[in-house]
Amino acid sequence: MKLLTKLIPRNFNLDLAYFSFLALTICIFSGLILSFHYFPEKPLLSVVNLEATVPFGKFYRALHYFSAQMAVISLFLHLLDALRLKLFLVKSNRGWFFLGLSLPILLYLAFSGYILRGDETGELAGSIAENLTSSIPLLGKPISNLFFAISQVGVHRVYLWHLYFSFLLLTGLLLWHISLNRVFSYLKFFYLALLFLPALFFYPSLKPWGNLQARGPWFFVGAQSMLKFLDERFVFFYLLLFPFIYQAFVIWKKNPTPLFWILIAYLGLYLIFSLMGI
Amino acid sequence: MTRRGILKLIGFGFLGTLGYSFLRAIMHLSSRPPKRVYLPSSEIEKIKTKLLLGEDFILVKEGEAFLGFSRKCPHLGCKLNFDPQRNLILCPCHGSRFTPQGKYLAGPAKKNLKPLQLSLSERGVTIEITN
Repeated sequence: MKLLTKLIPRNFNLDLAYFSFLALTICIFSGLILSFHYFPEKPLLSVVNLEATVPFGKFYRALHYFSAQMAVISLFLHLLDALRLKLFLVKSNRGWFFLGLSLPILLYLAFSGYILRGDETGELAGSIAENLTSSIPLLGKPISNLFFAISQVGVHRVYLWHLYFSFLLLTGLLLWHISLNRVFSYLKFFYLALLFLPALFFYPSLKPWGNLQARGPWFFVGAQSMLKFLDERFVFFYLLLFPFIYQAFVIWKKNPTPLFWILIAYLGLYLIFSLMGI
Repeated sequence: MTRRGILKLIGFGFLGTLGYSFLRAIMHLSSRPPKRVYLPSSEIEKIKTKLLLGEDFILVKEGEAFLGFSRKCPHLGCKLNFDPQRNLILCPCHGSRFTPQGKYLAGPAKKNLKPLQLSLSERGVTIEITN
């Protein structure tokens, strides 16, 4: 831990937080533009049309995609670094609660974005999510119907939650976690460049299955790998565990060491499965 | 209990009932009616690899007879594919494998493919696809 403190720059956590927020904001604004051209009853056609007919359509989609990926990565690192700095000792309970909740919400957004592309891999991801949620005893079907219901109504519900959760996340962060004054005082051109440049040079392609295999979004590869060997209900609960472990740091703030080890084991296992799936 | 306490309780009860009815309403979805797909004999004659992958179904030719299966993997509903080199039906998501006759071979699915009802006539085959 001491070595980490020496290696990591002093303002690293704040930089991550700022970068993550900036990425999320850009993602939401680029998403707003995309939403004018997206029709959930024809998802794939909307995406293809957007790229073919809308001026800068391809760029907006790439910006939306890459800023979302950056937001996920930087938020995850921000969460981990907040633990390293033991910020649960100083942050308000509400602020910490929303920080812990922001990752699952953002992951749902990124995952639903993957489904909304409407290509073959997106369809498969949607089917997995729907069936995985449905496999939960008693509450599975209603939850699946609420958030997915793809086999019944296509991507309509996923699209609506994609919109609702984006604004919920942004509003929640602004109300309970971030100070806007601080954000504006921290504006760095370098971060903006880092978010815009990948969209200029790379393109998130619409792909069919490769080698008869479908992996899903990169952060879901571990879950896909787990599903090959473990019961789907176990995998579902495993995926839900992270925010609970994270919130537990506030409850056991006086003796957090066992929680650190639990979190390391939890993430380590997921990493192993992810590597197996690559 | 004070008057304010009782009103609060009634308020929460009202909100709870409203929330419950709202959730019930949006969680309930009536299941889709079964879909029928008709394949004329001319289409069936084109099957060269003894297996036809439709959007929702798999049609297998066994001599003169036909077998029909849902194209959804019994594990988590992924759309199945056919590997002609190994003569196997494969799940692209979690690697479950099935014979062309729909028998489970390996992987997390643990079940045979769901059979579909077929109606054969001289003109062709009608496949009934249920959810």
